Amino acid sequence: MKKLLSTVIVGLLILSGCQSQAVNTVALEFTKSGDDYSLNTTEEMTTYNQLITDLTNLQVDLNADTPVAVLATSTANILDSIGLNIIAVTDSKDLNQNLTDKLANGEITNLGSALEPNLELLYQVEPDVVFVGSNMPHTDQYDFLDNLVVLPQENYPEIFYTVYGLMEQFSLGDQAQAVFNQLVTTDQEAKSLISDQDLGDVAILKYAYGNVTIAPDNTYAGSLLTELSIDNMYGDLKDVDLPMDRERLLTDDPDMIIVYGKGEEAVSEINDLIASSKLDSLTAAQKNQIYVLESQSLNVDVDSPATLLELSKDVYGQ
Amino acid sequence: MDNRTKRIVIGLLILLGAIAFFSIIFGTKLINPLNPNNSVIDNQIIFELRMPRTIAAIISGMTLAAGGLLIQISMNNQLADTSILGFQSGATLVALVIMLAIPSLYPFLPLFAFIGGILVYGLIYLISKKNSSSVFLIVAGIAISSIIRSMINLVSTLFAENLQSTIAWTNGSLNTVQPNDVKLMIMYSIVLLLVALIVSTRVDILLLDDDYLHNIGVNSQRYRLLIAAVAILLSAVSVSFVGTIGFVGLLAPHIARRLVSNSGYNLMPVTILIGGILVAGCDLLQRLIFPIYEIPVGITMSFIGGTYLVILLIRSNNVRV
Repeated sequence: MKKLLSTVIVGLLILSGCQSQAVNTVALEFTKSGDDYSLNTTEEMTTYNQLITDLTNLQVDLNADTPVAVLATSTANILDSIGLNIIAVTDSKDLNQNLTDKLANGEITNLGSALEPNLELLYQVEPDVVFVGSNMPHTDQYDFLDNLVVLPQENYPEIFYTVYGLMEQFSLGDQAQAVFNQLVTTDQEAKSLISDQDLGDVAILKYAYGNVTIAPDNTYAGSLLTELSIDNMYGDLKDVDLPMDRERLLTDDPDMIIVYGKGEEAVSEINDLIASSKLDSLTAAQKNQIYVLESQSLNVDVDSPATLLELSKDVYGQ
Repeated sequence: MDNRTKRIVIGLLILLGAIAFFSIIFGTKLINPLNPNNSVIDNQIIFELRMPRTIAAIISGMTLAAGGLLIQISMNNQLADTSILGFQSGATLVALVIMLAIPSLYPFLPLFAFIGGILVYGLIYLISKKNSSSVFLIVAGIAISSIIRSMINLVSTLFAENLQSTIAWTNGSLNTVQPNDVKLMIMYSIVLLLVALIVSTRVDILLLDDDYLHNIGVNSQRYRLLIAAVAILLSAVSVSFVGTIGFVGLLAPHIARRLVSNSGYNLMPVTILIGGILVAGCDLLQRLIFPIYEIPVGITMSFIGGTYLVILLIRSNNVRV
């Protein structure tokens, strides 16, 4: 028996050593160059059309009519707002009204849950490009799709070069340009409110699904503070989604607390939480500087500049 | 193998073949794999999605079922299963750590997962020295399994960004099984299932009392340990590529015992086939019931297996525990 087992293990080691995992990731890099927003691909992807191939390995011609599928909600909302031709999307109650209506009417295909999209349906709709947001928890799970594009969606500025990059590459028309202009205008308005006043220790917290977590600089919420030149007292934390509790708040006693959540329901829950947490002794409470920020998404979205403007108004005043 | 078992094996093979065939035909749309005029996309759906998925379901079911039967024989306990006793959790934890620390060792994942499973076995063995009753063993396994699950959650939380794609895997998902995974699964499982079939011809002796075996010169403890090692290695194959699928190792041997005699020689082939049928059948069923939404097969199996375990416990006077 011992000999048999040893032989089996050695055999398996030899056999499995002959194998390697095939990885075919095609991702674009959207980068910002100075004050200009542009899409720079990695070196080998400078000729965009030659590298993005569809599921049948055919070259894709990128234009406004190119059929695309999206495996993430906030990504779908961005792409829909600038007029990309979305033919399939994962289901979520947070999809914008246009996509929700199209799903309900059967105009576009429902790919199931964003956590476990239905790959058969994805293949059947034959999208030329498949988009997923970099904020999604499983982007590497679909790296076998040759036409997968991972949109950067983790830091506030990414909304600009994402929209601009797509607008250029897909030759999108006036709708996309108008969206981009609006994003820039709102961003400029938010930043015009920045003043030199000393805000003291500022903490930004994320509220999601009943949990309050600290948002350091490397998170979307943290990047909002960076954009407004606000020093985040938890900015240097490496861990994302570190829970915030009452004890830590009382110990650190920030001068200003910003709690950010998605939608009216979250705002209402945050207000209830603050009211029931007995935070009166906090400096932020005494200075009346606990702000609840309502956002349309927990990640980078087309509403991000509007969220930034709301935050700027809260912090720096109208 | 007696004639009755042979007939049952043939029947189960036909059933397994039918399920495999329907798994390839049915899905979000009906595709005839034998149609030469299938579109490129239809062929891709069959060869890149449905076939790897079906083969992975059958292999994981077979390996888990064989592992379950061997562990039941090794522990002389019909309620034992590699998932209930925490071997799968141990395997999952080590596999998770390896994926995090040295992802290049992916092809060897079953061997590392095996180490995790065998460590849990060692722990249970040490604990059972104080009390070797079968019920105590099960409770010890459940307790250790809970501890390891908490460690899995801890690792998943601390390294959430690096382990993003493992969420579905820890629930036992066939959705994103790739052809390369299937090749590895086939390589490991063919060898191990053959070992299980050979071992099963010599396990009936373990039905005898350990003291009696000792008196006739059989080192039953060492024999039981070797059988447990094969069982854990079998379940490690499934855990490594498909994730945790509970209760297959409990259900399959129990169904097999209702069909054939309680001899390892007859039980093993029947158990293996039933395991494949269970997982592939469950996957097909949930794809037909929920054509759009992908439900991890581990969730369905846990629901069915948990219900079956409760029934077994209620009727435990008929089961050797």
